[in-house]
Amino acid sequence: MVMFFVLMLSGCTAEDVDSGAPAYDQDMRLSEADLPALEPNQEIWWGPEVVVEPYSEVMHCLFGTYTGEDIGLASLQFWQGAYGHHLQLFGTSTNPLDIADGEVIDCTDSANESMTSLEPLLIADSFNGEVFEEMVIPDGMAYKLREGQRWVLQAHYVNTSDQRILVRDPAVLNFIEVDEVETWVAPLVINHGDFSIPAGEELTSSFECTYEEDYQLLYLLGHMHEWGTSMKLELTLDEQTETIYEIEEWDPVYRDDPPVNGYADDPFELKAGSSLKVTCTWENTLSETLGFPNEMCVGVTMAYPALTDSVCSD
Amino acid sequence: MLGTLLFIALSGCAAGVDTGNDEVTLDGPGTLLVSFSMEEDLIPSMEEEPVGEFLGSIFAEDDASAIGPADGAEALEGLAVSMDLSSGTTTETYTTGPLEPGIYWILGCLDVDGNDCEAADPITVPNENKFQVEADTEVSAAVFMSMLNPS
Repeated sequence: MVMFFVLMLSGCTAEDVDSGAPAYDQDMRLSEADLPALEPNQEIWWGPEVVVEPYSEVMHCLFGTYTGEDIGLASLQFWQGAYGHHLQLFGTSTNPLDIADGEVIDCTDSANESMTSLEPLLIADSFNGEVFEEMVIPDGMAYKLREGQRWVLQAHYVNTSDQRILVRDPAVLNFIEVDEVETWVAPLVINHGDFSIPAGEELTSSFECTYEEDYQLLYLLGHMHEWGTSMKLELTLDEQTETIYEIEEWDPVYRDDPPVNGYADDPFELKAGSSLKVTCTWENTLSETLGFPNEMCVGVTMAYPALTDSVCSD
Repeated sequence: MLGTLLFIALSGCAAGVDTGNDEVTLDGPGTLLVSFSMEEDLIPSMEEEPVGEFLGSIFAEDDASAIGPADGAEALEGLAVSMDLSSGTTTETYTTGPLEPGIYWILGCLDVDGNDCEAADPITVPNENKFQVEADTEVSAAVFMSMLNPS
């Protein structure tokens, strides 16, 4: 946005504005022609357009606001060219006073991206390093995308070439009308925020939530930041405890692209009376105490029936 | 924002033109005309009707963050407004006292059971309730409660 501002002011000079030779070696932007023909219920949302330097790994976040009428978001398809690591769509509560629609920020470092403001819209399946990723939930189900919902398209690239590449990748959203949705799905989040990791020390801490209604889970994932070393989610019902998600060695890249348990073909039953416990271990390599939201310990599921997000938090 | 930038940029082109007019500066305090609504889809999952008193506080920009008021932060002003949000919205409004131009948070809950902001009351998500006060102007501020208190 700052660059745009500068360009606009430059336009005030008498000199011819030299839009300049593109500051990249290779244009690797995808276009609509690279995609299958769109169905009437589909829409393309373009990710951030950025130049990625040679031999670099970066993540950029483009902010926007959904301005249409409330609609069901049934699935997402993400397309990326070579050097794409992942493209993700999140909801966000970030205020337009802080980051305006159309603005792109470098969100490689969590210091530049308030993860507290990112919310799952429709959870991604695991990305396999392929150029195409599709997230599907069963027919008739959808996440309710509401008018005014702010969103973030986060694009991660690992440019292993010696070229400066210009990139821009699309997300294809598949909608269904609200009155055609049979079952609403929404995130069920367990957030452990009441922890404090002393400087230079390791800490393991847990938080447990009990659920009073039956849910079926479609996906399950964990979220920590770069000081996380391991995490697990345990399900307890009738005094029987089962570990349902475990990452024994947390990789910092999981902050934005964690392993996902997918149950879309055979939904996981979370019965009323069940409890979920999230346990995280971190190693604080800093010289100061570390806590929420700079580090996190979150379990996220996509559940149904659920019309609105549900957050259990300490 | 794009429009604003365009306006600023184009204004910059004319900066050297002397119109002969006296400059008028706006630097006095402004106010916020606060309206209230909540996510209608939360209502079916509430045990109580969404009727009660909005209990809120106004904080200066530096005194709160995405996770709420900073430790020890003092509110500039408190709000207590009775309302019925059965339809998700209300015509009730509140006008703040004078505030210096800047950014402010309005944080609070709809106390539906008379016991303050307890679990399951509709609450404001901080980032969604941040507003700009402009000099010598009354600006609309739409407070929105988009979740139920999780703790």
